[in-house]
Amino acid sequence: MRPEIESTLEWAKKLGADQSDVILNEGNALSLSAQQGRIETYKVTSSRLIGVRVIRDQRVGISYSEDLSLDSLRSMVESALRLTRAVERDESQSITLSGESLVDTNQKTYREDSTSLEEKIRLTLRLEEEIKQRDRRVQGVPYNGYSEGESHSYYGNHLGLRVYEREKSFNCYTSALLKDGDKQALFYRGGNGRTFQELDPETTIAETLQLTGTLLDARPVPTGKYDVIFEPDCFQGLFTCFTGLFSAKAVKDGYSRFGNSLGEIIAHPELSLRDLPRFERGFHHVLTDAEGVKKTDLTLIDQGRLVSLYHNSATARHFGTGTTGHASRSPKGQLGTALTQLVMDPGTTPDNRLRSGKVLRIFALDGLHAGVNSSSGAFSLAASGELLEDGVPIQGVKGITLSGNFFDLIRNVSGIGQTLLATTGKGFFAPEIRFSELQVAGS
Amino acid sequence: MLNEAIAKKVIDCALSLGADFADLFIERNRTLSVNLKSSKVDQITDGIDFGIGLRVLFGTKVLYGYTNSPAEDELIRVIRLLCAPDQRTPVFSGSTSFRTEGRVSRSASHSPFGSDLEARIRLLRKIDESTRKQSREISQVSAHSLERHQEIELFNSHGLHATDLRLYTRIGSEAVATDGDQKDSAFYGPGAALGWEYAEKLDPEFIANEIARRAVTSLHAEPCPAGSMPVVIDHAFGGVIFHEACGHLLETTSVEKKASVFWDKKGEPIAHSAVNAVDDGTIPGAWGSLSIDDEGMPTQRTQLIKNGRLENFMADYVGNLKTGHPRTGSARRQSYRFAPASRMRNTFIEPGPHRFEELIASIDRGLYARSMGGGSVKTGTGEFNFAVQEGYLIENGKITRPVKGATLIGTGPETLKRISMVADNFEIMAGMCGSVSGSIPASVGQPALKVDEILVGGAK
Repeated sequence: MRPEIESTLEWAKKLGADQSDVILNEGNALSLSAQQGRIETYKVTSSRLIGVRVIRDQRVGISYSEDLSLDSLRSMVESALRLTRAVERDESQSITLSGESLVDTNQKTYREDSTSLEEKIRLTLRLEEEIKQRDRRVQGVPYNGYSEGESHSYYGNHLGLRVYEREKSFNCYTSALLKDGDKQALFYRGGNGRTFQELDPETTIAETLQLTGTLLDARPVPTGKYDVIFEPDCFQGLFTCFTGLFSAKAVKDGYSRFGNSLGEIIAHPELSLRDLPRFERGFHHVLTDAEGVKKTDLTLIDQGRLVSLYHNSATARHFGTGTTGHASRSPKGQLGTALTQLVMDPGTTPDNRLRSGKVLRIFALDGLHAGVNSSSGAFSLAASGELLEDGVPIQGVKGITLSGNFFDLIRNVSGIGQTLLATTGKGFFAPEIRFSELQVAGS
Repeated sequence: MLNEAIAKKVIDCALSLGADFADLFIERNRTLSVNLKSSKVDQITDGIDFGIGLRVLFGTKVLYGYTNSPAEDELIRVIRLLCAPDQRTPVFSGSTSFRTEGRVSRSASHSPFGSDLEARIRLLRKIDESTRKQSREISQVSAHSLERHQEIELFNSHGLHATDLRLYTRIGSEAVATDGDQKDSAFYGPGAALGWEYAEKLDPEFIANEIARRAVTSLHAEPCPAGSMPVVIDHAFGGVIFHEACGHLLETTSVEKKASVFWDKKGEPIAHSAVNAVDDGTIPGAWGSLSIDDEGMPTQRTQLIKNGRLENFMADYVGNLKTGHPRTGSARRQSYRFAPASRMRNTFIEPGPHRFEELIASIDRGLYARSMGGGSVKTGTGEFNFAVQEGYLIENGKITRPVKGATLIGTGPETLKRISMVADNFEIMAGMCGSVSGSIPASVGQPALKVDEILVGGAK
C-alpha cells in the first residue's frame, strides 16, 4: 500500500481523529485528435489526488491535496480536523469496516498495452479521413479522437482495511458534419474497449455516417402523441437522469418520493432493473465501493415492484438496514451513493409487435443536463431520430421536443423486447422498450 | 510559484526540439465549500489543487500535457514526451528571456480566504430559515457557499511572464416543494469574481423568496402546451439563449474548424437589427471577468454584433493563427488540466428601447419565460435547446397561468432574426459554461426579449 496512505492515517490518529479514511487516486492519459489529415492535438497527462475524511466526536471533516509531500499531508489532516469543529454531529457516518487487504488485479479491467504510438496516430487519422472519403456531402469532422487512460485507486482506513483497484480503458470517437444545399446535420458516435484491439472504428465510422445521413434529410413530425422506442445510448442518457431517485441518500434528504414506495408497484409489471457490478458483458467490473465494501448484485425493481434502494453505510445506519455496497466518494467529496452497471431484464414482446404501426425511434436527446427535473420527474428535451411504420423507417425526424414524466414513463410501457442490447459504452443494458403516447412538439 | 530559471530551461528545451511556441501555465487553486442541508451544517471541504500545464506548438498543431510536480526533471520529461513525435531541427537557437508583466488584478478581497467560517454558516442558515418560512410546502432546503482563490503564473517563449490572483465567490441555494407524492425544486446561484465581501452584500430574504416562489409555483403549474409560439424571455439568466444560440458559434474554437454556421459571416447581418451583443471580460467583479486571460493577454470588451451585423469573433492564440481573427483576451480553461481555448466571459445583449410591459402586451398567445435553466448547442448546425425553469402563459396581452416542463428549441441563425423587441431592464447573472477547455465561470445577460416564434416543447 502507498506510504502516503499510511502517513495520512498516522497523522490523523496522532492529531486526534477518532476515525479516518483516505482515498488516493493516480492516473495518466493520452489523447489525440485530427484535422485536415494531420494530428491537431496531442495530450499527455498524469495526475494524483489524495483526500482524507476524519471523524472526531461524530463530526466529519474532509480535505484534499494534489501535493503528496509529507508537509502537505500533515497540513491536509490538520485542515480536515479544523473543519470538524464547525460542522454538526452526524451520527450516521462512521468508519467501521475492517478486514484483510483487497487487491484487485482483474485482467478484465486492466491489461498491458504494447500498441505503438504510430498505430494510435494511424487510428486517429482514420477516424477523420474515412468519414470524409465515404460521403461526398461531408463538410467537416469537427469532433474526432482517440484516448486512453489508466487509473489506480487506493483506499485505507484507521481499522487497517486496505483496497487497491486499477483499470485501463481505450476510446475512439468521430463525427460528421454533412451539408447538402441548405440542409445540415451533425452527429457523433464513439466506442470503448479494455484493449486497443477491442476498439471497433469501423462500426463507429459506419454508424456515424448512417445516423448523420438520416438526420440530414430529417424534418419535424406534426405535434401530437407518439409511441417511442429509444436507442440504447439515448435511453441510458434519459434513464440515468432519474436513477438518483432510487438512492437512499436522496430519500433521506427529501429529494426522492420513492421512500414511501418500497414494496409497491412503480413500473410496468414486466420491467425489472438490477445493478450488476460484475455483469459479464459489462465494461465496469468493480471490486468494492468507496468504503471498501465488496460489491454485490442488487435488484431495484422486480417485475414492476420497487424492492430496494441503494445504500452506503451512513444511509443504511439511518434507515436501520445494511449497506448495499453503493458508497461513492472522490478524494475531494463527501460520502454519497452511486450505481455501477444497470441491467434491465428482457421481456416477451417479439420485434414485429414491438415496432408495429407508427413509432418514433429516438437516437439523440439534447439538453439532458437542463431539461430534466429529477424531483418532479418531468422532462422536456430536444430529440432526433426516425419515424418507423411496421418497423420500416419512413422519415428522418429532427427539430422536435419530447416531453413526459419519468414516473409515468416507466408505467406506460406497451412492450418490452426479447433481446438485451448494450450501449456503446457497455455500461447499461436494456431491451428495446416501447413507451406509450409521449408528447411531441414538432411541425 | 515556479522558479523563473526552471521555466526558462523548460521552454528552451521545447524550442531546441523544434517547437515554434511553448508556454507554461502554473496554477494553485484553493477551494472552500460549506454545505447546509436539512438545516444542519452537512459538510465543509477545504483543499488545494496545484499543477502545471505545458503547451507546445508545431505550426498550429497543439501538444499539451500537465503534471502536479514543479521539479525541473519532471517538466523536461513531459516536454520531451510531447515533442517526441514532431521533433525537428530548431528554428530558434538563442534562449528565452522573460519580461515580467505587472499584475493588474481586478480581484481584491477585504476578507481573508476562509477566515470566518461562522460568517459563512450564518448566511446559509438565514437562507434556510427564510426559505422555510415562505411556504409550508417547502420540504427541503440546501444552501452552499463556494470560495475559490486561483493563483496563476504564465511563461511563454515570446518572453511573457505574468501572474494573477482570481477570487470567486458563489452562493447556491435549492428548495424542494412537496405536495403529497408530488415534488418540485428550484435553484438560484448568484456569484462574482470577488472575495467573501460579495456574499456579505447578498440579501438572504431575496434568495429565499426566489427559490421558494419558483419551487412552489412549479409544483402547482400545469404542463406547458407544445407548439410554435411567441416567447418573451426575461432579463438576467434569460441571456443563456444568446450564449447558446450564438455565443458558442462565435468562438474561434468552432470557427477554425468551420464547425460554426457563422464562420464566414463576418460583416454580414446575422440577427435582427434590434440586436447588439457584447462579450466583456472587463466588468469589475462580474463572475466571468478577468485581468488577463489564460494566455496572459489583458482581457477586453468585444463587440460581437452591432445592429444585427457580425462584428467580431472571440479568439485565442491558436484561433488567431488558424483563422487570422485578432486575439481578444478570451483564452480560458477550467484548470491546468486543459489547454486554453477561445471562450466567453460575460456575454450579453445590450438594452433596447422598450418597456417589459410592451413586450407582453404585444402577444395574444405565447409563453413568458421568467427564469431559465441551462441549455446546449450543436455549433456545426446552430441547433440549440434550453429549459425554462419558471414559465407562464401569455393570453391576450397579459401574463396568466404558470406552466412547467417547457423547453425551447431552434437554430441560432433563425432565432436571432426573430428577436423583434428588446426591453430596457438589463441584468447579468452567473453561470457555468462547459466546453472544450472544461467548465468555467461565465456570466450571461440581457434585457427581456421578444422572439416572434420559437418551438416550445411541453407535455400538454
